[in-house]
Amino acid sequence: MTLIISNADVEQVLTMGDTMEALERAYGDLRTREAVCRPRIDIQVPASADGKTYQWGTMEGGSMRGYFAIRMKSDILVQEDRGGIPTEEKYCMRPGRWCGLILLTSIENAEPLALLNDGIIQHMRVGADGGIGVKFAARENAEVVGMLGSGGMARSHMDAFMEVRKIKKLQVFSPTRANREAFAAEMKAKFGIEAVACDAPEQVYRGADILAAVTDATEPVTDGSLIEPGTHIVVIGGSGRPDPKSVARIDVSLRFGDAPQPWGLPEFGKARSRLTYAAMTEELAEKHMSPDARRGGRKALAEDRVVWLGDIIAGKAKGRTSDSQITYSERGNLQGNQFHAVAGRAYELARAAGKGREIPTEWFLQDIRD
Amino acid sequence: MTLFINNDVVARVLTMKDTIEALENSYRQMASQEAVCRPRVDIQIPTSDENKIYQWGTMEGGSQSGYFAIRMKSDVIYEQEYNGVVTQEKYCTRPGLFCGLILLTSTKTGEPLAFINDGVLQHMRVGADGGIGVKYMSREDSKVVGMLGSGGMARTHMEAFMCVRNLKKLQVFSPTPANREAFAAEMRAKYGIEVVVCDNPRDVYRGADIVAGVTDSAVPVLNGEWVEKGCHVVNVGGGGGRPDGKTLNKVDVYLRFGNAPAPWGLPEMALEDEYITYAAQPEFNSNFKMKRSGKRGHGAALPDRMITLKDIFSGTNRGRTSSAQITYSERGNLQGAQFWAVGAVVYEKAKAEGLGNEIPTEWLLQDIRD
Repeated sequence: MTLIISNADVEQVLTMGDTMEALERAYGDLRTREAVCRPRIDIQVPASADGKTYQWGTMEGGSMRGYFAIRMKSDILVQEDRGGIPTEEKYCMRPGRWCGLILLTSIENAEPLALLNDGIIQHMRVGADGGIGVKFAARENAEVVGMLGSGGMARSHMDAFMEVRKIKKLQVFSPTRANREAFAAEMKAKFGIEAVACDAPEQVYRGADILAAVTDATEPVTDGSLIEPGTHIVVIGGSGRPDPKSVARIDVSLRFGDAPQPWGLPEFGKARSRLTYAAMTEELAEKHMSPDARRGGRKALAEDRVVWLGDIIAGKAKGRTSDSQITYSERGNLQGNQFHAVAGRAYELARAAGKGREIPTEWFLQDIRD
Repeated sequence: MTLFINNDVVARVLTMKDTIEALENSYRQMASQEAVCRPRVDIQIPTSDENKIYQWGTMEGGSQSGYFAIRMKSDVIYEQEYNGVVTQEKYCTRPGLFCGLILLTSTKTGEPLAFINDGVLQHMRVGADGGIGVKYMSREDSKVVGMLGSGGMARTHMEAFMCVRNLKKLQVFSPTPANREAFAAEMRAKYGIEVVVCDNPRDVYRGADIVAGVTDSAVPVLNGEWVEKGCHVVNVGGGGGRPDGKTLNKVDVYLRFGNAPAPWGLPEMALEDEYITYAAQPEFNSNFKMKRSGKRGHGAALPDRMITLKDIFSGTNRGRTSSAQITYSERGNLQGAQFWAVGAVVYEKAKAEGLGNEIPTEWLLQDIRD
């Protein structure tokens, strides 16, 4: 039987510790090439005359440890202006519903093992990456987190930071007062730390050892002029990038790795955050594609200051070399290497716990060869 | 509800005429940028058996007219040699079973509409392409088909040829007498045409207006010495899906349906390759003869004699210009443009007739945003 594993199932069995362990191992395996992945590929198709866009996005990879996974997203994107901040809204079928699925297979016999909703895993893997960045690049004695954003990603990042540093204090800002206050109260209760809901974003930076911008804004939300020496920076979300002032101040940029080049095509090995194939003319693209997609995705940030995670793990390089350095961490385009590792672990745990719905594996198989 | 549509249902609802129409429509939309696809991407990972490799392969594309599809294959592959003939073998979970799935979605709402086993559809789409090549390139008065091969692909190709030309005669050869006899009897009964069973490949070519090599041989099966003037050539499988060098030398006009476009903003990544392969263990050499480790997929066969369907649709080139020309057609790396188009036909008919297994679409959706 093939398992259909829901977010509730994943949430009950998968811990942040499991996730970080699985990912660190997968990054090591990619370095030794026991694992493989390819860059994220998006397909975009105009969905309506008023600017909605269908976006299908996939990430995939697998490892000789036993699993392969593809993560698939099927959503309608809507570009919106939220109080002067351009954001990207999305839904599948109706607002409040999204479609993100992981299909997990066995590399030993090719069997389709499970279909997993990706909601929890998605938040966990992104948070875990933030935590891995902190583990290898933040100051050992980091104890104050400054956070911009108070949604699901803010929660998973706090989970991950708590795993790797003795955090004592959180300073959080997000545009809606009720949201930031609820988040601060929740973190205070959950981790027993001091948590301050800030009335202005600049308060977040003061004395922060870790600055995490975890929003879905499509433009950078950090302000590099406010970052203090010694801070480690994590940025995710629509823009996925710090502002240019922050970038200029980064001393060390920790990059986890990149998808390898395909056979015979070295030019495809040049890291891009994504490749987008679109069913539209230039004219329609103005209305339907984000600037990032139109540019062909992002290249590595602060390339001249990059330190590779694999080199740190192998003892060949150091992350931060002084307490006053400003550091930054980002994954690189190896998202495809995350899902076989984390979904593989979630599958094992869910199976052992008797979770998930079963559908006949025969539905996925056939007796006709191609 | 999301449908699981098996091969029996596909065989029941999908006709060759529908398939040819759906594909032509998709190719027209590709030419006008209303539809899009990307090249096939394969992932290869060695299994614990050194003679076997896990191969995951996908093709995808979608259209403004409402559908997107990804085709996914998950198989363990290996090669076998029998009497000096190398063949590629594959299976999923156990020999005799294969995993090839199409996930169809709506580009209007993002909804995951159906999972479709790809076995029947796969044969239909390949045969239909043969038929489209014949429609645009073979002589209008073509009457005689010479065929090498008598398997599933031979059947779908005959069906497609019958849709586009008024054929009177089939000449067939395949190595096993019982197979070619059975195929001949079947074609005679099905189409009421004259069928000659050849006991050597040479006789297949005599007087043939269309020659089709449709085998799974590891080496080219056509022999250009015997291809006669005015003939149209189709070839699938066999030596990387290409005719032999002598046939290619004699071709006057080469129709390549088209190529996947470049990813947006990255014109340098435009590619004619049949597939892109990302592999774990780059040093590992499978010694496979059919898909060689480290090698790129093939591109356009004869760039100097090439026209595309876009040229034909726009009226800038009419393909064959004399009845004496030898013509050859192949798809190009547009595979991703096929599955949404043909999958949509299958889905709409299956749904209208109440066929297929259902699972709740809610299982595939979630209330957590990424």
